[in-house]
Amino acid sequence: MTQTAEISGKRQSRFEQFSQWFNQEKILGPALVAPAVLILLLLIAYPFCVAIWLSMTDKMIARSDTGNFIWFANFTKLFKDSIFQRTTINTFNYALVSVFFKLVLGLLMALVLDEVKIFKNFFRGILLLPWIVPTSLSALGFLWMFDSQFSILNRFLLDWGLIQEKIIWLGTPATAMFSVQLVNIWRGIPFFGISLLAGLQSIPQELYEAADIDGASSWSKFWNVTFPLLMPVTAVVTLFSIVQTFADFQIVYVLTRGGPVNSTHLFATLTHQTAILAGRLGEGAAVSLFMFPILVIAVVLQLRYLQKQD
Amino acid sequence: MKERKDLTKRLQDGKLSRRDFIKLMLATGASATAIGGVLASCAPESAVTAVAPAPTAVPAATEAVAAATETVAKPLSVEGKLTMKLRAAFMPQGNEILKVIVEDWGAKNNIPVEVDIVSMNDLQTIAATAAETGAGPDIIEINQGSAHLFAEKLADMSAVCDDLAARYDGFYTAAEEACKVNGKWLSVPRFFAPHAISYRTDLFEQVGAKEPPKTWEELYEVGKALKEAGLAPIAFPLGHAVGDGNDFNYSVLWSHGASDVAADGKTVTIDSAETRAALEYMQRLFSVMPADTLSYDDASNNRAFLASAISATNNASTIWGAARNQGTKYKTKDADGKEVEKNLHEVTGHFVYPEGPAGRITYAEFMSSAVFSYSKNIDAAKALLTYLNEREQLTPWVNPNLGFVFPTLKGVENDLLMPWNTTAKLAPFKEYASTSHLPGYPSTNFRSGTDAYAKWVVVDMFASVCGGMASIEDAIKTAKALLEDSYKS
Amino acid sequence: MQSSLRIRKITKGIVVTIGLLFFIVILLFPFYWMFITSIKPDSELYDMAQPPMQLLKPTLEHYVYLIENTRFLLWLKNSALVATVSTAASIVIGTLAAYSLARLRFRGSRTLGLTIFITYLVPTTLIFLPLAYVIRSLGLFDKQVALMITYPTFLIPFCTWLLMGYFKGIPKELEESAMVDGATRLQALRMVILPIMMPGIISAALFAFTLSWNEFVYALTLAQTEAIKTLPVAIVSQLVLADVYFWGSLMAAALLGSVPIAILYSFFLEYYVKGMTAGAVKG
Repeated sequence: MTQTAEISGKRQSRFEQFSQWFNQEKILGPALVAPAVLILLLLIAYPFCVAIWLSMTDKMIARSDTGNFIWFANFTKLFKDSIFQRTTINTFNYALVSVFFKLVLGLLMALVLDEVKIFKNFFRGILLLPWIVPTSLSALGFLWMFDSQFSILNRFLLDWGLIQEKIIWLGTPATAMFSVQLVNIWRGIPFFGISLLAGLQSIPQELYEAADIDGASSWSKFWNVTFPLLMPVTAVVTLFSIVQTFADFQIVYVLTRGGPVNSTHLFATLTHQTAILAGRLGEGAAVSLFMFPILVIAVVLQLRYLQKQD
Repeated sequence: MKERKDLTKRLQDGKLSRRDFIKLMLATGASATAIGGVLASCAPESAVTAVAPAPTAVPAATEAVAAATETVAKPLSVEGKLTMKLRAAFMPQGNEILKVIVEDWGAKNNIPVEVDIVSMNDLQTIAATAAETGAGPDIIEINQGSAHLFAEKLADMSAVCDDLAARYDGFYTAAEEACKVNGKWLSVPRFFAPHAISYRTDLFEQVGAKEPPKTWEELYEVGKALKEAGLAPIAFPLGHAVGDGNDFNYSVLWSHGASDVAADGKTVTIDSAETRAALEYMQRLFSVMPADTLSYDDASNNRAFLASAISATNNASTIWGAARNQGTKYKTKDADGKEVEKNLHEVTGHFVYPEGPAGRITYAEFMSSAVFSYSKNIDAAKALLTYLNEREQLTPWVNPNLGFVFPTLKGVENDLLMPWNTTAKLAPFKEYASTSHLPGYPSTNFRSGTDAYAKWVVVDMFASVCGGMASIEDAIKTAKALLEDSYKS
Repeated sequence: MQSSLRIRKITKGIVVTIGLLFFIVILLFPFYWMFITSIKPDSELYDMAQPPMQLLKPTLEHYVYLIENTRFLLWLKNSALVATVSTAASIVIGTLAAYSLARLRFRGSRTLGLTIFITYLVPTTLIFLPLAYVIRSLGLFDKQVALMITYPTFLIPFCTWLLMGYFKGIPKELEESAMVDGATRLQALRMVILPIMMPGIISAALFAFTLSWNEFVYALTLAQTEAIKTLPVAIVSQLVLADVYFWGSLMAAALLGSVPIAILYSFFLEYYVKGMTAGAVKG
């Protein structure tokens, strides 16, 4: 009887010892991050290293040999490749223009929604729709709206007398780029809008009241109170959006496949074309990897900005 | 019998469910092979040759039974299921019938099969994943020269192909180009998606073209006349349209005597007088075409034609097929000048690709069935692929696809029940396979040809000139640089 | 003074109404057009003479086709299942990681946090082939589980990072006082911190769910059997037949695949907004 009690007492204390040991920050800390790290190591870091290695080989798809190690030959070759040069310009154009308009319109949407008092959750919910509908399907919807014969947009513009003849949305380099950007912007506005709305609502009301007492105009309230306090969340949302937009695939893949004449190819669609359709795995990986340092720079800049805010 | 008639009618109208189809099969004697006869007996267009369904169906059925007993003799087994991914044809019923034929085979051989029909663009990504990781379905339909890309990972299908080739009149050249790598068949030819020019017979007649154009020059003349008369113009795709864009542009290039590569498979020959002639021709042709052809994908020309916005385009038979299925109308004036609506499919005709200075050379839109060597069911796959490509199974599948699929085995297309034999309008599609080639022609370096094709080099060369994005010389220069990269490997 | 205030109020009301209408029109017009397309018979769809917004004979045939001739409901269920499981897993793993990185001091925590974030930058198109190889080695190829474990690769960095912000926003004293009362850290986390975190967690979950709902490339390559496909992949495969698009049914699928989610979201939006606030601003 006493023996059992003793043993259980010992066990108890052993468990307590363990729990105390485990409760230490230097143990608990890594332990809690471990699951995340393990999954990311296995499913991101490892494939990523394989991809980096691939980008330095001339590996072709479905070849049993692992390809020759050719250092940076894929990259130097790409610099001279006319399609790749075009794609680089396209990707920057696509991402920067889209993110800019998503940001501006999203901010505007947040400001408007902030003032909407009736059915506010209803309006917020339905205005999220463009972001919720799977891109593969909404892009098809736009394909139908940009169709050269049936374009509803052309019908409206013609009826309103804004244009004299049909716009060939996906048929000239400029309009095709505009069209894919339009879809990206359309899809991204709600994400910005709702996130910035959250930021807006976090701004203490007292600050506005104080500004009112000082007799500040609406504009000066926006510029001196809203804008600076909204910056951190704006930076964060913009960061996510830049990452997503640079790596975008679906919209271009569905609408133009990079055409006409490669004028809408992005890094991701060119990767697919090079690696999957033409079977040049190494070169395809190199195309995709070009994106990575650009994103890292963007992230570092923004994280630095955020740290300053702290 | 009345029920059978009713069912076949619905099958033709595209209103048949899977359950109905199986019912139909049972009604006709449980053999898929017999369906062809039933289908043809109800063909909506007047048959070219009067077909008595019964005699045709009976020998076919007996043969099938014989084949079945043969397979039973050496029982097949599979690990898990025999899985296959097939390319979706445009007729839902065609896809359903294919599924039934496969499942029928599975039931007879006591092999569980799983058929998944997917759109072509997704197939290519799935095949690439399978090739690289060694995991995926047992049978995948791959397009064009993909067998050359995946060569090292494909199982040898020579036994199947040699057997089929010996039992019929061999395969078409393009099928061999696509599937035979270093003397071995690495993929089993499945079908061509044959192209012809779909055109409006009424509008062509209005500008005096009683006979369809025979040469590219004549086509241009008709196009010019249509444009001058203010009628719906001719329109050929110049965008990144995987099927139609490549088909048209390669065909124009080759039939002008130009090519991207020499017969040695290494020397790039795009910088030639013939290429310039082809580009100049296309520039002229573009001047009588709507400018939105630069944005055409595979579906755009279908829609434009169905909306009576264009009077000719290159396509598989899907325009005519869809017009008939959906009862698409076009507006015209009757004898009293009153506006009336008539059936579009009645004034939709087809003609073979025109000839250029080098005759008629067309691009092959082509699919084959690949089995990757990782598959644990290679024997069963071989048996199934043999079965599927036998005349008895081809006919009932090809027939309801209304010309969208064309057999790769020579001679089979002469079967009375093939759509081009039952429907006069589809006859031009019969010509396609014999003049067709894969990118890489006239060499045998189809591996590199596929690379150039994947990069849209030829289509973009034409499009950039037509769209005013580059001069003829610049376009050739750009194409040359890209091609040299492709044919280096 | 009074009247000028009123005028200002009215002007503001007008401006806000115009603004709201503007966003409703540009964001929702495509949905309206999808809806019209989804209830138009094919014969009217291709009739260029008919004004496009006009509808002569509305029909439900495209919806019927979708439900009867495709396995739409099954794919909807698959998508929901995959998205729910991967979201839940990512939230749990992400919360633990975020708590650790935001609250606990140990060597290398900063670098670890940054590294986790950097993994978010690795493009899908770059790694989907090597990833497929890993999945195959694990014996998970062509199983739904494959998606449930790969989606967290882009959800975990996202959730961790977002939730770190929320943790930083919650005063340390709260859990410290709980620990003085004898609770372990994990108990304090569970009993004290998580309830306060709920809005943040819900907001992270909604974002994560939407990202999973949308995913295409992994779904296409890793879950190939028709019965286990997710909605976006399956619909495109089934309704784009060669060069014929089933526009009506495609648009019907787009609507049925998003409107219910939007309605569901609107119930959560109250939390959603509050959640975003705490995390993002302090992040």
